Amino acid sequence: MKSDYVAIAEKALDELLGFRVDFADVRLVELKGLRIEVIDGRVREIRFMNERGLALRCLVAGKWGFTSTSFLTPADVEKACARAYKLAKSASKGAEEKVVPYCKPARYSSRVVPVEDPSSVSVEEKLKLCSDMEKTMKEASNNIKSASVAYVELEERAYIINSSGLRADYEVPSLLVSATAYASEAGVVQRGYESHGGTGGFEVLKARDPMDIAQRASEEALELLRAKGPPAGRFTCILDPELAGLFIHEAFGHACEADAVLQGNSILEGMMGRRVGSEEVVVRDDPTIKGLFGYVPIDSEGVGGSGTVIVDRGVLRSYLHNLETSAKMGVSPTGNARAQGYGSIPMVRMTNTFIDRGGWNVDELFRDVKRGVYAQGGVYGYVDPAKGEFVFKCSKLYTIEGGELKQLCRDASLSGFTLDVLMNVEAVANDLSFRPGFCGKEGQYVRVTTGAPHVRVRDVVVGGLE
Amino acid sequence: MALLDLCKRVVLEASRSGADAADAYGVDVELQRVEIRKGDIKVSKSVHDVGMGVRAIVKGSVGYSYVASLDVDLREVASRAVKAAKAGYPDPDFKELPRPSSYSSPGNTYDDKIASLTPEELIDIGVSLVKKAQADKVYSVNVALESSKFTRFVANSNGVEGVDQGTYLSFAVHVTARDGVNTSSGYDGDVVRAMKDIDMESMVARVAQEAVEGLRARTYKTAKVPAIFSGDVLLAIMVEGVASALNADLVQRNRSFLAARLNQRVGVEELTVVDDGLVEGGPLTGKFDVEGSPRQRTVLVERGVVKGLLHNSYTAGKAEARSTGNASRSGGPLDFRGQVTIAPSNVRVEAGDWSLDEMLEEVEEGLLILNTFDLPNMASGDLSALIVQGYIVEKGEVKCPVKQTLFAINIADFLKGIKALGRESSKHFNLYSPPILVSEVQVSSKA
Repeated sequence: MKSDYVAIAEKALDELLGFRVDFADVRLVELKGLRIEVIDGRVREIRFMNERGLALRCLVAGKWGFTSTSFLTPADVEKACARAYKLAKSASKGAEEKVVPYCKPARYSSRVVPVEDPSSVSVEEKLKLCSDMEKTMKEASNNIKSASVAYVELEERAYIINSSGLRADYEVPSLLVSATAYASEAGVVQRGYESHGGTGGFEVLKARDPMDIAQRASEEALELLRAKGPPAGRFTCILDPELAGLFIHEAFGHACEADAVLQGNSILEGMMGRRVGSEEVVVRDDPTIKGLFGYVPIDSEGVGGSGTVIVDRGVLRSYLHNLETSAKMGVSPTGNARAQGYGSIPMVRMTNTFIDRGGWNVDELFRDVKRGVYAQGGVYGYVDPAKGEFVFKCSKLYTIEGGELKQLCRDASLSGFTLDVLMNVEAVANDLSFRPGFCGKEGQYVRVTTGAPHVRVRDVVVGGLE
Repeated sequence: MALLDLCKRVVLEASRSGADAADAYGVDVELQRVEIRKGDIKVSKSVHDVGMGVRAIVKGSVGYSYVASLDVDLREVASRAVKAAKAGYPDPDFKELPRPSSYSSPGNTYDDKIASLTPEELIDIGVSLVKKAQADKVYSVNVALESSKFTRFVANSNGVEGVDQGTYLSFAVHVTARDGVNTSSGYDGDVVRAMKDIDMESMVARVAQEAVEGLRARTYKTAKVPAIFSGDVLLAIMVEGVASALNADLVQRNRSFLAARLNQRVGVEELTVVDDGLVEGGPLTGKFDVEGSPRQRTVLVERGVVKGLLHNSYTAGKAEARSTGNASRSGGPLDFRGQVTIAPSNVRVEAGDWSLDEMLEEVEEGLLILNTFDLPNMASGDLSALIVQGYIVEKGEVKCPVKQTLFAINIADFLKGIKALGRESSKHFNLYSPPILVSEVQVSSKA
């Protein structure tokens, strides 16, 4: 972080500490990026992103005042600090909260140095990569009628200081490529999607052949043209790593966020130390896994998490925390406070969240299934967190008979109650894999990874149009 | 109007740097927000966001850049957009950016009451709202209230210039109820332009009542039944399923299930759907869209026949049509950072002549469906969705709430299967629609 930015942040914290605050922090964020999108042989956008700003937060009697500014002159910063205090002060009218967020006074620094700096690769070269991927999809078949590719590179830098004496800074570059293909035949239109990403520089794309990403998207769209409507009813269901990962993030992970627990919006309130899943289930959130898209060495409050075992052999062991929720629950912060940018207030968010590997081979999962379904890929899912009721749309679903895959189906959804599903997990395979994505919570989007091995669950409700 | 001058200057700079055409979209928004968590004020936020997005076009290739502050070198911002445009490929489908035209001034888009709200007043409103939700078995009340006043600016190299002021109040309430065995929750929210257009107290009271009623929700059967759709669930069907499916870009690329249906019958004779960017007090009402084309009324479906598509200047040029003023940035009208796309403005479904009671009388056994969080598959038109809020209807009477129940219907079948449209419309975000009775919907549930 540039030294004048550090000075601006230090000055702002001094300013905030001049007021009667219980806690204050200052976060200076710089974001640079490039997004390229190619669609049907044309460039839809080449967009440079570039901004920086200051987030100011203070706590008075348990109430947060938050403001941000992209104007960094001393006068603007002083005005913003006074505003943050005034907001907290007026919100605290009559309140008597005693719990104050706390962290050790320490100095943390983390910098991911790209092996291949994205800025050393020309925009033209990145565009050509996108175009080649788009062509690869179109060339797969005449039935691929539309195809698009998006490339996003981001470089986030932040300097975070607070009234507990913490000083932290980080620099994390990340990169994501996605391919979308639409196939149509005889009036039926189907979509295929595949993505790859991670933290780091252009080398992220060396880990996987971009043309393979494109091929997977077109193959999926083409396959789905021949798919039928899914069966409806209750089935033993094998979830592939992508869908199981999406499930654990959406249906379970959000309920582990301690702010949701404190708001009375989580099915896991009061469940600490109790059984929430079968013996097979181990769930982790680990911001320290380098290279993954959800790598967060230092969170938006300056805390570096060390990885959290959320569920151990079916028993709930920890929620995910920021400084405030951990102080309220009397535990250590887990490094899960994240904000989308300087204009947003940090909330408890996931990082790399996954079901850990089990002891089964994948084929063993299928072998015992007399009649069931194999669900692959998550298009999206949604959850009523207070009730724990969820729906997931999978990209593909196969019926299983006598351990063998039979009919391919499309537009299938899985639904049920989160805890029922975890309790009904019969087997977890040993083939853990990860997927990059963006997670939205109250309008803020952050990069995350979801992960899981193949998982077999009994008694899952499958619904569809037929 | 300093920001308008900056927009004009950056357009000029882009042209000087070699752009064939350029535009700038500026936004100045002052926003304040309070969050009430479990009945208690948690956050008071106030942010002033100013910036502008720049597009430069070179041989049809579009380059973007933006600034989120004004103390920057405009020449650099413009040249970044031009650099991006030059890196792209020529696109003969790009015809031109909008030309100057007169803007109408739709009513009720700016409210002094909202504009003058202080953070303290917003907190007081929030605190008094929470009290309306207090009832036996209510476990937690979460409310978010956000007020903003903004000015939008647009300028382009064809001489388009525009300034549009407005206000927003957005509101969301989530109530959870518990009785020791069951947990249930209720949601509602809306976005309005004037304080007088929202009755938050009634919304909170109703949501709390729904959350408590939800404790006695029942599962349903798996069957094909008639259903009345009312409220937020129609956003998924009419805004996402119909208006968004008539986005000209999706249609031109054959990505929409309505792609080849222009001038064809897709719905019953009684069905008329209009995209109305000028509706008084509408959340997406304004003088112009994000590229400076005037907002307008566009008939999408008239008496059951597809009559129009939603265009921005790019798709309009490609189709030799006129832009319908539906250019949007990915984050909506106050986003200056994102890509220029196409989105519906306010969607109006014309009312019919049935009262809700008359519609209910038609339902011997069926459902009243009010909300889902799901969206249709735009390519196929299929919608299979969890009912987040709905009721069982028996012999024309609304009985108990339903739980663990999904409905599935293809939007095309929905439009053809409409049996009745209510005579009273209500507003839900950017949708104005009456309740709609559909003869047959597949529902699946436990029993």
